[in-house]
Amino acid sequence: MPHQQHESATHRKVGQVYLVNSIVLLKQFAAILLIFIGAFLIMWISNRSGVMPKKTQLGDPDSTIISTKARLATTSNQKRIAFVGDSSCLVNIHIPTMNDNGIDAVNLGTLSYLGIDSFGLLAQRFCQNKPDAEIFLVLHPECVRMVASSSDHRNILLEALDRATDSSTQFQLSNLRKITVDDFSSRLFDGWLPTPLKGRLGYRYGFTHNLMSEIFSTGGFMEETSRFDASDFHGSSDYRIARRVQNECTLFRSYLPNGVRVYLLVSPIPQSHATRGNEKQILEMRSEIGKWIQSENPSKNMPTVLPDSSFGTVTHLLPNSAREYTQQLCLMLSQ
Amino acid sequence: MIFNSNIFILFFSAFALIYWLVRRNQRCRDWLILGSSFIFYGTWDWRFLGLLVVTGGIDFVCAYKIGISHNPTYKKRWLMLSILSNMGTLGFFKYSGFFLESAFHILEIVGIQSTRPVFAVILPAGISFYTFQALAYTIDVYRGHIKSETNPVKYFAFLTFFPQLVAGPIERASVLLPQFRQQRFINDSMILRGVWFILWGFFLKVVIADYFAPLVDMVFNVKHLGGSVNILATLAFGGQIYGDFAGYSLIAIGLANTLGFELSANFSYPYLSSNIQDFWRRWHQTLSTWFRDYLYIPLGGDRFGSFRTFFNICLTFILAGLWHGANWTFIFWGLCHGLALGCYRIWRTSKISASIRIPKIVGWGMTMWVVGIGWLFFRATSVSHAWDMVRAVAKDQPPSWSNDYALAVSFGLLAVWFYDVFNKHFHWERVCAWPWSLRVVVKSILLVFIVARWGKEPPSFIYFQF
Repeated sequence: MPHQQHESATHRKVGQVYLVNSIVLLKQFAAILLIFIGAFLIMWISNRSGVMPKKTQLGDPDSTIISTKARLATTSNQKRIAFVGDSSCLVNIHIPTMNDNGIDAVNLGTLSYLGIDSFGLLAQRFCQNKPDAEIFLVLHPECVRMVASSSDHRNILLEALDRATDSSTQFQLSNLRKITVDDFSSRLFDGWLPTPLKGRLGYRYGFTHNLMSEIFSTGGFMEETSRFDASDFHGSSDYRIARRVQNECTLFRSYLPNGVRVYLLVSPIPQSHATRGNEKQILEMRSEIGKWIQSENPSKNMPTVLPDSSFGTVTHLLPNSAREYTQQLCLMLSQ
Repeated sequence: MIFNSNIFILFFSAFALIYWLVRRNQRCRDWLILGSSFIFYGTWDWRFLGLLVVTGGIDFVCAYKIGISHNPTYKKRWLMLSILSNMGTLGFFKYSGFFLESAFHILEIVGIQSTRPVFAVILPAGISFYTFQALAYTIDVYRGHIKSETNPVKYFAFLTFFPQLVAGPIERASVLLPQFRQQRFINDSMILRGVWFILWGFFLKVVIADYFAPLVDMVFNVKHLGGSVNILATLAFGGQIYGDFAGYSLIAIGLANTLGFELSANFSYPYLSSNIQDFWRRWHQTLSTWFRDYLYIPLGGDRFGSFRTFFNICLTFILAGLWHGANWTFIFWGLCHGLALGCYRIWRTSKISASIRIPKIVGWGMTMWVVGIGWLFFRATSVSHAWDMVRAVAKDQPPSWSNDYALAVSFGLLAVWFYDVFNKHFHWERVCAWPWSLRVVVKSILLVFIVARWGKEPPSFIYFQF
């Protein structure tokens, strides 16, 4: 037999004897590898050629939130006021309460990982053909001190806003799985097979497309489902402005058309977490960031500290508290 | 280090290469297996290697003493020492907290208030598996079924053989130990069969079990969910645990095959079983036969009438439940299966069963119903949690996403059903008769699915906690 490696089986101390036809094995493994590579190639070509359904970006909660907000920014033609910002904006600004108070607004709050300049991109999309639009930038002190934003999250937003070409069509060796099988299965299954949300979002919303439809129906609001426990939280309340913020704020402003009015709103922190120095730090934040984004009238009357019982997490208010907070905001706006 | 991680793939590749290099020397092979198994186990917690060596060492000495002795009393004493050593280890690490907690709970019920001590013991990975394997070895030596091993390297290589160390199959010494004594012959068919099993194992774990995992968690990890989702989540858990455990067993068998070793089958399409007895012939076969041979039969088996048989079955299953974990949920799981199997035995031996023929589909439905109730207890965090979930089925409103949930679970269950039907009709001997190109295509498809679902942070196997 060709290439057969037949060793003596008579020696008492021999460990194992390989009675292997190398050609047969190599042929089989090579064929598996070829088909495997072929399958990846077909998937990549299918993703590129456009024969596959369009990507829904509903694979995970972050993508779902970001892409839903991009759609909201694009489709909210009748609205004049938009709230953009981190997740404290997403869960603290209750749009149905605003509507009850006669304020027609949309909540475009997303996630702090995006960075302030990315919030500007959403605001820019919202402001298209709206010279009299008003933008509220809602930031939590936790977001302001964050050292860096995530380029992955920004890419999701850019794709959702159609500002970047679909990354699945660009060949990158380092991202081979994403551009082939991940995108292929996402295009194939996301449209009809529900994707469960992990963690606490799963209990409340179930699946990614439920989250999307609920965000849509509430004008961009998402409920916080946890409950804040001060004894479990060990984070620092020394809030400072990270270096990146000034640059991001300048970019944020540059994305908006002239004439669009911008306001800054600093989200509240829990009572037990607040220290004496916070008041000064938050005033500084309002003044500095307000200057960088050319905020017209910093919202001095809104509370910066609320009781622990109002919070789901250190940055997020519980749904009822979000309603009360929004009610207070409506009062401030009407003044 | 878990099978579904990149580090294990690297570890096994390096191991296979060195294994091939040392093929001419059996002693080197045994040392290599032993050393690699220790590295594999040490990656969980190296401190427990000492425990493994000590308990394994006691069993080695006990079995050796039993083997050389001709005095029955003397033999019995060494056997008792081995049993005490294994059960003591298992009892301390796995059950001490549970029994202490239960004792204090009972004291509180009868009105005696006392301060509960803080008692937390880390559970060594795979302790239930390797203690049972070691115990079976000394019992088999005592019964004269096998000869005791005199070479400690071979013995420890058998006990810690890394493909099956942490979650089985629980291998009998009569099957595995002789394989370490002989030279192994590895041919094309063995390697190809090993690869076939490994691919199907990974498919079951990363494609099926990990698909079900978030679906199960989103219902079991939260209270106050009601309606059909509780039933569906239980079914989903049945799919998850099957994919997870059968997947692990297949990978273990496949890895062993590529090294020239044969391990026992652990699962044979259990969800196609038409009665509960059939189910237990197909589910976790190495554990069920262990309990049959070392507990049920010594208890008397079915030799002392219906009532005693019923009792023996229930006791065996309660202990099998307790083997899984120190929680009342596992005891209820065992009791549920014990009662069902006991009732089935009574029915089968009765005169009515000869005249009434139950259609297979009805038998299958009843079996799955019992198995489902068992899974509810198995997955629930406490008995009251399981009971709350049962009550919530009728009492509470289902969540708004229950239709989506039904669709997602049904899709997964269809995959499990497909796997079992495929496995039943196309076992390896039949697959061998296929043209090689067809086998290659199936393997490639499996590989694509596995790569698609392979995670950066792989979830562990459920049975590792036992």
